[in-house]
Amino acid sequence: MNDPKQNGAAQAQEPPRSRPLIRRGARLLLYAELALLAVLLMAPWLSTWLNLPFWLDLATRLSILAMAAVSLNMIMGLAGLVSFGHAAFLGIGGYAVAIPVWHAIYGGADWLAGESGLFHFALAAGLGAGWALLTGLVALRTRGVHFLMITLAFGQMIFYLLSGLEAYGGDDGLTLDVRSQFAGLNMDDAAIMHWLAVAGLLLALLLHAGLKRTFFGLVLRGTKADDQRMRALGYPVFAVQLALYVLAGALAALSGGLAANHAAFVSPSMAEWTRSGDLLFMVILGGSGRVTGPLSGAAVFVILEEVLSSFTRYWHLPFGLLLIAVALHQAGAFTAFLAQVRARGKQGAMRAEADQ
Amino acid sequence: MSAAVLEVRGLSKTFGGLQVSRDIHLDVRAGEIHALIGPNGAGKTTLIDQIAGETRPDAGEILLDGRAVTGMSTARRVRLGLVRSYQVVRLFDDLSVMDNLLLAAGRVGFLSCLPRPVFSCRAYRERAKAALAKHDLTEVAALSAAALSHGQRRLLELAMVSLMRPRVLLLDEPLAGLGPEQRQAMRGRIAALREQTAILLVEHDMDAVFALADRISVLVNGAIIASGDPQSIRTNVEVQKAYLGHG
Repeated sequence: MNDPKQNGAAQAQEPPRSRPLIRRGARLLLYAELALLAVLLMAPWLSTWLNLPFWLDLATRLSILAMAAVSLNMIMGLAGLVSFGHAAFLGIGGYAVAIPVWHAIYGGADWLAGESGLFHFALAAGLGAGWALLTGLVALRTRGVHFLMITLAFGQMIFYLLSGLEAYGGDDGLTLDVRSQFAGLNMDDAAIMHWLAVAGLLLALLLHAGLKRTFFGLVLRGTKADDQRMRALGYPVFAVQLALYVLAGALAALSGGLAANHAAFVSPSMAEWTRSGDLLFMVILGGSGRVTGPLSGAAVFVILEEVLSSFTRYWHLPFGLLLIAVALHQAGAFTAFLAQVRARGKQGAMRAEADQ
Repeated sequence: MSAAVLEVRGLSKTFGGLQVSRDIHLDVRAGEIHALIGPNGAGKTTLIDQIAGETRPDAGEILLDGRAVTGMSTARRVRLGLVRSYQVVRLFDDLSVMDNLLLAAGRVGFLSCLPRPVFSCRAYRERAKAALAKHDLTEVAALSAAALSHGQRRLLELAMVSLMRPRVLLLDEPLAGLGPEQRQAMRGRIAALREQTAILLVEHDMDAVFALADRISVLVNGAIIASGDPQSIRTNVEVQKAYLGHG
């Protein structure tokens, strides 16, 4: 498709093989995502002003999901590792909050009991990193579909482990009788809960953006493009990828801790493979590798879930069809589509002008 | 003559029923270019793969500066100075020319630079820039490697391996696919590298081989049938029969 408004100078500067249409779409999407981020930051005020408390709840959920998706996007975008077991980290982080709280209230396991938020989140990050280290040692010896399958298997291990925790509710999950306690921050306040979630999301986004610019990020891009060549340049590819995986695991577990606090409830379904699939969907929809991509991915996911589930109980059906459409068009399709829509709009406007 | 930097002792390798390396003995001395020639399918690249650590030999030993590296990973060998290039140029196509060079320059002590922004890794940047200038690539530094011509890609690969502070450089057909003028230039560059590193050169261009090499080994069906200075190889009857004379 030819763009009606061709700008010779701008085009000449672009390196060959670039796809301007997708680039333009990406820029539009970036603006939308930054706008969304601004809305998320102001959501508590907006919801009070518009008197829509439910929207705040939705915005908090979106922020937490987006944070988890950013963590997945880090390993997918930077290292090209597609994991199907990322929800396991959410489950780990959730239970790292819920179990100490349960013991603090019902006694037992004094070493673990506690309501301190710092303790909860340190535990979540530590366990997430530990699980990433343990599974990464095995999973990172494989590539592509094998990596996907092995992470899926590890994810299911966590799911069944959590389901088997009869003392902590088993399949039914566990209600948090109190939320994590931070000095001066009361997470029972929906606004503070929301800002903590947004802070987590910002932390994840900044970490990803920062990593991308470091030499570590360049090394990771090299391993993504050709890991054998990187070995022939002398880089310990395995160790480099493991370090990234551990970092992403800790981050995802933190988002799990936030999710537990938000819902005041944890259950094994946090770690279910369908949740891993949801996160993958968000990353792919937003364009894997785009730092802010998970924002639009998570937004579309949350909106679809809300809208479609209000029409039909079987909302997963149209959702699945959309997923297939996205997968067929692959990453970047969404951004290209946006640019096309805009270009068409412009053509229409020009034609209208010409007719006059 | 100086001591051997790289030594290959009794290397053997079999793929299924095909013996691709038969009890190969070979050494490369400091400051020398040792050329490895032989007809297609003789097992030259497989030998390079084994020395570089990308293929495991069935038997035999590989020593770098007298130290056995046979069981080491490719990356560890590279860090010790055993560096290779590929027969089919292998670059990071999506990365810029500069980034390709930064990755090559960064392999020495890269941990210190790891958490820092790419642009603040001064030491690497300076070395990469020097390599750009030396290989006439400064003008294309910002282009992606995929946008380069074949000749430039060969140059970039050479620039990369020369940035890696090699002790021994394994060059697998560095002249392949180049035009006559580019060949001449590349020959000069390889000759200049001799001061920096010992070189094991696999090449089909006989003019280049006889002009560059201090010693030549001839590989036929996985076995070395002759080894010596260019003059003795040129006059060796076995070699002429197997390879040079075409019958």
